[in-house]
Amino acid sequence: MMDMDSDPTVSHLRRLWLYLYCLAVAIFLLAPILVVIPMSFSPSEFLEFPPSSLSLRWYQSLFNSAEWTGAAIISLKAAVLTVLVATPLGIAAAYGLQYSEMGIAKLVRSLLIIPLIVPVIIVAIGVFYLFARLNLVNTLTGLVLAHSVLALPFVIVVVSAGLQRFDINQELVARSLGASRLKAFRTVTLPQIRPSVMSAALFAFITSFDEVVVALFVSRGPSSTLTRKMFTSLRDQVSPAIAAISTILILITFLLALAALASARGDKAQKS
Amino acid sequence: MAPHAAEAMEGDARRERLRLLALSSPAFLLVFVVLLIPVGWLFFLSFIDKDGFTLSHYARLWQNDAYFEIFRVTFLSSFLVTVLTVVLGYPLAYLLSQLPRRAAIIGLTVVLLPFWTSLLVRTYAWLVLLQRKGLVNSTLMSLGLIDEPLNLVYNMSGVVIGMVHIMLPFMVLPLYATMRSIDPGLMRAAISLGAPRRKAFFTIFAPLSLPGVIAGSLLVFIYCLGFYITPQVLGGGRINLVSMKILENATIYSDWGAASALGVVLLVVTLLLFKAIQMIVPVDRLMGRS
Amino acid sequence: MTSDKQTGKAGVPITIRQLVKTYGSYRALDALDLDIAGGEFLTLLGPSGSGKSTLLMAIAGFIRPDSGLLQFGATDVTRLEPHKRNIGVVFQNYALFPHMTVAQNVAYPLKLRNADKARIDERVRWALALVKLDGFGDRSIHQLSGGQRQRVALARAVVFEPSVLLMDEPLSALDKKLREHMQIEIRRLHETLGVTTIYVTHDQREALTMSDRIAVINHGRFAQIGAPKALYEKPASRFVAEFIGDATLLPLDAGQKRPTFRGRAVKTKDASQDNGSYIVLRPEKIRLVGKDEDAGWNCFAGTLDDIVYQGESVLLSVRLEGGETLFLRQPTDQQSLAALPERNQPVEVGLHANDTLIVPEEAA
Repeated sequence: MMDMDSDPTVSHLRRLWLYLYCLAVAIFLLAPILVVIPMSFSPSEFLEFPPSSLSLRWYQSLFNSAEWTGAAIISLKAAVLTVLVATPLGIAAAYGLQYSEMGIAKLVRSLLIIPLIVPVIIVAIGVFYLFARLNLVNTLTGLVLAHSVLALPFVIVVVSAGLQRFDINQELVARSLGASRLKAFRTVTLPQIRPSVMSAALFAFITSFDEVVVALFVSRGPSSTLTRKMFTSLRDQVSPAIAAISTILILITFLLALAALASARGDKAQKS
Repeated sequence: MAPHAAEAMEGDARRERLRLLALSSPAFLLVFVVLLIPVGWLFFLSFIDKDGFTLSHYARLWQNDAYFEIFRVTFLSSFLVTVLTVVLGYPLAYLLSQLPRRAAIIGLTVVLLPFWTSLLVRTYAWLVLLQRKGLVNSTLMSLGLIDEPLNLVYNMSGVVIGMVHIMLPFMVLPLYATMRSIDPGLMRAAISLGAPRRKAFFTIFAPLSLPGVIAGSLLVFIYCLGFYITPQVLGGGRINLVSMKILENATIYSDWGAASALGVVLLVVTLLLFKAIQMIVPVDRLMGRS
Repeated sequence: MTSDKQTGKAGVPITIRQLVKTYGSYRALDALDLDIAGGEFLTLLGPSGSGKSTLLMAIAGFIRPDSGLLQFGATDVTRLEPHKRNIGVVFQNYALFPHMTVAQNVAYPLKLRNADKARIDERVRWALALVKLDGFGDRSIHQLSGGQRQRVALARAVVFEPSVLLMDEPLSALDKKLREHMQIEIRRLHETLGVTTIYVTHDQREALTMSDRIAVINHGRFAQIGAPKALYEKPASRFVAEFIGDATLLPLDAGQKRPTFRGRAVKTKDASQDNGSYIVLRPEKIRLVGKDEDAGWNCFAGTLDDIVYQGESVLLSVRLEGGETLFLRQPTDQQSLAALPERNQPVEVGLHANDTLIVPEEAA
């Protein structure tokens, strides 16, 4: 495909204003990340940028705090369990709805996408109201159920997109060659939509790990998640300890994104 | 052997379709129990008080000036954020869509990196950047642009800046997808037909990118309407939005009637706007990230 | 009827009775009846949307018919799931599994049948040799050319000795030369294996080249079923005459006992064709004649409109007095070329009585 860069009618110079403007927007986008990381290495009680010297003081205090590590463990547990619940349910639903020719499939699909649209504050108070009656408030089960509902639409949308790119004739061929529908799915379809499944799982993980509002309602006190605890401490004081947590979270994000990119690329390399 | 009757065959086909549909039932059950029932319940609660059916919760929303102010601020901030994301996002998406694929992917990573970063981390970062002695104020002062530090946070400007940052990827991604799908040959054709480049842009490219702008704007707008975390932290309690009032009514005052009524209004507005988006671009396309 | 009886492997005969498939009010398959002999190579030929692929997919089991009967040999398979039908299917886009090597693709149906490793290796080698891809087993699908992919798809579809082989426009993605080569290969493969084969195409030339019999399908019904020569020489209806080969059809005068065209009696070999309403003029069956040719010819007067040199032949277009255009094919030897009249000259086009073909609007 041709692109305008190779179009002789526009010179880079004439576009200078566009480049500068976009550079400014990019700085705006990246600034928070670029500022938080150095500040986390400051020894000072107060936030300073750039830090006057480097220290791991805040990281030490984090790892020595049972409260913070406990919250991190709860968050990790919830996120992993959410992945384990939402991903298989989402894959099954995406597959079934894609190929069931029933009129109602469309309706079911839009109902499953609804958690994506409903403001999370409404989900949160609804879930709180329900869980209070089922004794699920402040339990990991309750948190995972709620997070799975929030993660499902992402899984369904991402996996459906993968299925749409997949050539369904392959599954038909597999079935003609003697595979049952389930076997054909397992041996032919699933290996090929793996990148979508991986990114769906990643979405599910981040949806849970990064979720605050529902956690505000249903995981309080000792069952606080990491983000919930960060949120409450932000209201009290702006401590560099938060910068340290943020840096760790950024690092995790970065690694996950890198892993996703590598798996996508590995898949492409295999294809070309 | 006699041909099979239509009824028997019909039964087979129906069973297969049902089996496929049944694959979605665990997911549906989960969403039904954890989301649809409670939301239905809230809907119900918004219409009753201890004496039974009532419209008083809604009447209160209508009559109370405080609620009017909350809705005004919510819509105003959402609108401001939407406009700003278009202003910042459109040129960026345009440039990315014109770059060769490889360069565009690097550019998209810049957009996606904050997108994948924890919302709370980003909010926190803006709190740090925007405070009185924060980096933004100190930079502006050392450049001699201002003498006094500006009040950038715990007010509307802080809320808007933070929300624009969070929402920008939601604008850039659909815009980029729309613009990539515009055939570059169209611009060349317009120029070959005698249109100056600027004219070609405004008569060909801009109208074709409009669905992306509308879809992105609606998406950003509805997310803003129900936004809680970022405005709560950066507004420092001084900016009251609908989401905060819902939370306050539910947890502090245990006034479920008021909380539900507010929630129902927010939900209805959101769903109507979402319906509008879907008429322009199906949701799967909006999410079609590369 | 088939040439593969000598291999000793008779394929399974297929019986189709009153097969119906509707989509809403649209009848994709309109109560079809068809008998396919064991080991026969039958082609389903029709324009796009005619129902040919729907029929193939119904035989494979991917489309459930609304009613009717489908039998392989004596077994009723109408309601059987696709994986229990023991069929090999080759799709237009091959549908090879990109996450498996060539050998793994071919071994896939054998693994599903729990064949042991030695047997799998032996069969895979056999199948790859059959399609002339010996030594390609370890290649990735992405390293193959279009023609090679086609061969792998074939090998995979026959490796488990299916009772029926179904092919859905398998050659349409290949260029002309390769396509013609593969037509011969598939024909040879069919003769070696003797498997009952149903082949879908919209290319009438391909159908004529490859088939034992052709079933012409249109609007979900069979327009005609027969051997290639019979279809070309004795089309049953206007549709078949126009769809197979090039032809100009001239409407006969209505309400006459004997066929006449613009008042002149049409000479035919015998009276068997008197009931038709069109006379069929194929470019290679007509030629330029002198004014006083002998009585065996039907003559049509017109003006030479255009002469197109096409290498192996010259195509002449002649405008008749009534405004219709006829096409004639002439050889390109020097003598014939020298004898061509000038453009815009009046000419007479002759069709010999023995070649005269009259078809009805609809098959009787």
